[in-house]
Amino acid sequence: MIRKYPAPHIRKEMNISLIYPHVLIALLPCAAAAVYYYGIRALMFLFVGMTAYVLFDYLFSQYVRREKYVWDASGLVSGAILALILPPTVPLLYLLIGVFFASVVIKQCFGGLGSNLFNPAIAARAFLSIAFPSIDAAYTEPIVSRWSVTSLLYGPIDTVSSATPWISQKEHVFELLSGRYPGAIGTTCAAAIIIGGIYLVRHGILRVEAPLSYLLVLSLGYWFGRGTQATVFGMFYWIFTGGILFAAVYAMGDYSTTPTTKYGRLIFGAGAAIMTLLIRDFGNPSYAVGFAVLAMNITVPILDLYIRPRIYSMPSWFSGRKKADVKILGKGGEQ
Amino acid sequence: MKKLSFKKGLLPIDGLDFSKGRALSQERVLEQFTPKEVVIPMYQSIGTPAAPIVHTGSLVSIGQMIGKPTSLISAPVHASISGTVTAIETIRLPNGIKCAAVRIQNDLKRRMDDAVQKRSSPENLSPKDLYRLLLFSGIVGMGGEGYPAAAKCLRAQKAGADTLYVNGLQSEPYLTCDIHLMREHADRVIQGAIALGSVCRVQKIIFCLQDKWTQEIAAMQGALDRFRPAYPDREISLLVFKAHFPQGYDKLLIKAIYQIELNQQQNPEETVGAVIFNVSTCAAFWEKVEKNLPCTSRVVTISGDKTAQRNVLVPIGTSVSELLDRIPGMGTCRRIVIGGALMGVAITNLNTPILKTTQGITLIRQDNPQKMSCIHCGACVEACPVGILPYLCERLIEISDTDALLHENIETCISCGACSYACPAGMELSTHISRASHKNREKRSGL
Amino acid sequence: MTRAVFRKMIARALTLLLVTLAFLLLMNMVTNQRLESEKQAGLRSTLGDVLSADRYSQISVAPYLEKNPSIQTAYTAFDSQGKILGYVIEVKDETETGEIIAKMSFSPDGVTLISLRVLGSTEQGNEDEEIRSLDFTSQFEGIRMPAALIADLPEQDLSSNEYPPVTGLTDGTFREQLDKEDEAGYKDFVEIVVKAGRIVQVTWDAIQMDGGNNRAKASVDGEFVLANNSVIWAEQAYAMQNRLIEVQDPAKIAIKSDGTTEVVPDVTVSVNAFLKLANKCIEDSKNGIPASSVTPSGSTPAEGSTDETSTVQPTTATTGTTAGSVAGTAADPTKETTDSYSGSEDGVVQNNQGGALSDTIDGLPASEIKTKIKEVQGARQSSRIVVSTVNQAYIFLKEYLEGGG
Repeated sequence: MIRKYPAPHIRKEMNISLIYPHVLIALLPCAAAAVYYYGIRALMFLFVGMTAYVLFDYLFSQYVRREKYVWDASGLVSGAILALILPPTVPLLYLLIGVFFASVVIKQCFGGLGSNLFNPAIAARAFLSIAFPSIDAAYTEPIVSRWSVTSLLYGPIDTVSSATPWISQKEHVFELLSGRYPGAIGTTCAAAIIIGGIYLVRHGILRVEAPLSYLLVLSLGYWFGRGTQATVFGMFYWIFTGGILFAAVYAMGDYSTTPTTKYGRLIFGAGAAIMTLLIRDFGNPSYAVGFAVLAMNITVPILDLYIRPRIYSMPSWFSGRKKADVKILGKGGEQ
Repeated sequence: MKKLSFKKGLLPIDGLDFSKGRALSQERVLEQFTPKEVVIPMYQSIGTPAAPIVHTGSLVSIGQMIGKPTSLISAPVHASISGTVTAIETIRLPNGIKCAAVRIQNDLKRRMDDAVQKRSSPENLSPKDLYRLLLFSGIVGMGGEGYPAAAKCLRAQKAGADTLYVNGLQSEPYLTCDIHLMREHADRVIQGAIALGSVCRVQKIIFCLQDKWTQEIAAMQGALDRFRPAYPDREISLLVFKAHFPQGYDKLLIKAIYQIELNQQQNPEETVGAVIFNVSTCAAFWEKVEKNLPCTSRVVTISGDKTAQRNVLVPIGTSVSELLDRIPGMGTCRRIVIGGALMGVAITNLNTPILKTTQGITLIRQDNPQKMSCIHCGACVEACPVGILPYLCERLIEISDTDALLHENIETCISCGACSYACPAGMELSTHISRASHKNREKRSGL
Repeated sequence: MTRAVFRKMIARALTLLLVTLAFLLLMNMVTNQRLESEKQAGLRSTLGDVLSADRYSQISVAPYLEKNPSIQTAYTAFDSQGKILGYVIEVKDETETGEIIAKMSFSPDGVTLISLRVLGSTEQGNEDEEIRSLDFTSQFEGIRMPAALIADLPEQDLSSNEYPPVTGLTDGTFREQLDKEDEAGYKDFVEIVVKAGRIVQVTWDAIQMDGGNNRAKASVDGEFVLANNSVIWAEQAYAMQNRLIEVQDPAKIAIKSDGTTEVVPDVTVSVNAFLKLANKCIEDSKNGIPASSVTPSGSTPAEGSTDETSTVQPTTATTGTTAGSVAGTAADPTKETTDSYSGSEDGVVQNNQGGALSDTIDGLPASEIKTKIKEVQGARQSSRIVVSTVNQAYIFLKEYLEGGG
């Protein structure tokens, strides 16, 4: 009746089956903003993205890797993130290709849940940008033809070129906050992302080191880079557009692709910020955030290997890798 | 007052604050339990087991010695109830060790041993007398360590220790036996601590408490203020700690106070001159000093994640089944754990006796979550107080890479269970790592 | 996940959702006002020089793009009371060398062009400036649509002033046809339209009694071929038609004994039938006998005028059919002697759009053209394209207004 179990006998309440639903809930404000601005199309993106992701996951895991698939919400989260970072006129086929890439190639082929090297949604977005470059110019004005049924299949018709410059003026602070400008469907509403981020922090799911260091280094880079032309509003505009906030909360807060230690995450955030700065200023700005995150994802194994906490009674950080002599620290006299 | 802590480990916000939502046991009077029979093992401390000196059929009374020490690091064992010895048998303890045990049938007469009588002036005893009392009191480290108190005092004396720490931290969840003692019987604790201090010849006596036990802190403060004038040459004070999980662990206690980290071979007395005793130990010693009653019963907390908490004064050797007969709804719990929920041992055989080192019995009803694959979240790394990487060690154990494990310094693991607690994937990190660490230790010592 | 936890999560999710929606709605209300006024200010600055209005509302051009591919954007202009002031349309047309963008405004009924600006052109140097200059574009101020370059219009009426008409003609449409068909099965007929006492339109064609195409169309299609490598019959008939309009009296067309005429170039077929029928029609006109039958679809490719001429009564106020009338034009009726057949100055051998046969301009019948525009010297092609953009906008607007606006 009572079997023998090893210690410990209680567990933290927040476990995997709860974490991902919380992340889904945190994504709800962004999804609400997306549906509010882009109507049926956004709904379709979300629905297709989430179900296709889980489906591909399940099929591959069950029939190719021959592992019993555990039904959890992580697939829904990744699918939703991928759907939310796409522009609204992306054809459905591209979305499906992206989901396939994210789920099968990036996640399952690398080992399934928790073993992926790259963030699946971000990697799939980068893949779509490279394979179908036309999608980067496919932004439309929000709240136009939201509810027309044709937008279900064909997407809104009148497109504008990429991010509009008019929003960089100071009077448009409300548009900036509420996301009423052309961009990817889920990443424009800064307030929604911030709400989601606060929710995650409050529940202990989002570790703040990576996002905070990311945003901080970005702000510093903006101030130093622009010099005399830097303004407070300009900084907010720079940070709130381009998907930086979204990446800060959902890409820097992803468990499997960020370092496991606190200092590792700080370095991760700073490195991603530096890469974003460089790509934005000297390269193609629409690639900046995605590729910066991917670049830092590659470095995570090294960061995990060398940045580790100090072992009790061992002198230095890296002593985990060396055999160190036993010494006493501080006062207490010599042995 | 400044709060001390070490840097890592689990925090109450991780869900360890079990007092919320359920009223902490506020009872003033300790419930006394009278078992029908007890089985007193001989091996209740570190060192060598005691040797039984009674035979089947002998009549014993409370406080009568039934097992004598067999070496310097050994503690005598006394009868905790009066009655007849029905058997001397071999039992298996929860940690797997087999040893001899004396089974006594209670005659419900509560006959005390003749030696057990109130002393007239306990304060005037000299350190040497106190030491002798300690030697025959059978007192071991009652916080779970089980090191014979007399041997510890001797070690402290030799090392020239100057501070005695009374460990009232009780950082394991659900357990409140020490807390109860400190709240209701603060005098006993303090006097016992002072007496132990005399044995060890220390000048400073410092009581350690967690910051969330505000009532107890107040009670101790009051009691300390009363006792301080009587001992002007000693420095008696209170130290408050942040509520961290393995804070009660002695090495981490030293680290929090002195910022010094001890490894396996060192002990606190020699390195920093501090000797640590548990609250129950001090109270038990004062019983011996005051009434000459050796270690025969102790306060045990019975609680769990769905059970109301209660502290019971239990004679040593009471079987768990008898104790739990009184708990309603016990049948639905999945595990019965001797000790705390995080570091205790789940028992299969309910006839396990309560030892001197048993702090409580925890009834767990919640099932562990489903085991999934590691998601590299790093929660275990944040939780581990000694700084190893549990997820990495687990992976290395999985692929049986023992050399790498040596490099990972897996032997520093203190088996606190914090990593398994924090793991969202429900992996059995602590068990595997402890086992591997034992294997490594054996390998290293050449066995 | 236990049920209690699940319920808690649902509650949290709903809270977040509501908070976000409330926030979005609030922000939208706040920003709507400003965005709208900014947009209008922007539109006013771009569109205000052709039609200044209080508010512009964009028309979706997508449904019309199939038939009117050059239309870029269209706006309805309102005044502060909400009354429609007119429409602003932007058209882009492409040439081999580049593109021309024109921005114009129309009256609410879509018939009058209020103003025009040419934004971009492909000409170099002076011509480019002239195309965009107000000299050229001011010709378009307040004109009636549709318009055409003077050079492109067939010269029906221009030389008509030289020849006096036959006296005693009554207005209307008159038609005569031969009693017998010829060997190929064609029965010739001639139809004339008289307006204000002058012959303004002549049609010479032949019905195929076996039920095929008319002779003009057959000659265009290649079914009816003339011998000796001459110009196709339809062109010759056309030339005769124009000549008659020019001289007004069939007697004035010089005929050789074999029935061909040298005076009208390229006409090598016998025109006896034509003249006989034309004289008969003039007799009818003098006597007031109108065309008694509905005209079968003849060789005239101008569909618009065909519809109009099928009316039986000789109406005096038919709109849009007075071909070549110069009512209301601002352009001075300078005589352009260049023939639409010969090569024009900028080297392009094509005739006005629609080919040698048609006298349509941009799909509008030449008879409908209300305004003649003088081209920029040396930039006929670009001028033509500007006119073409105007006409395309007119057609689009007509379609839009007919569709309910």
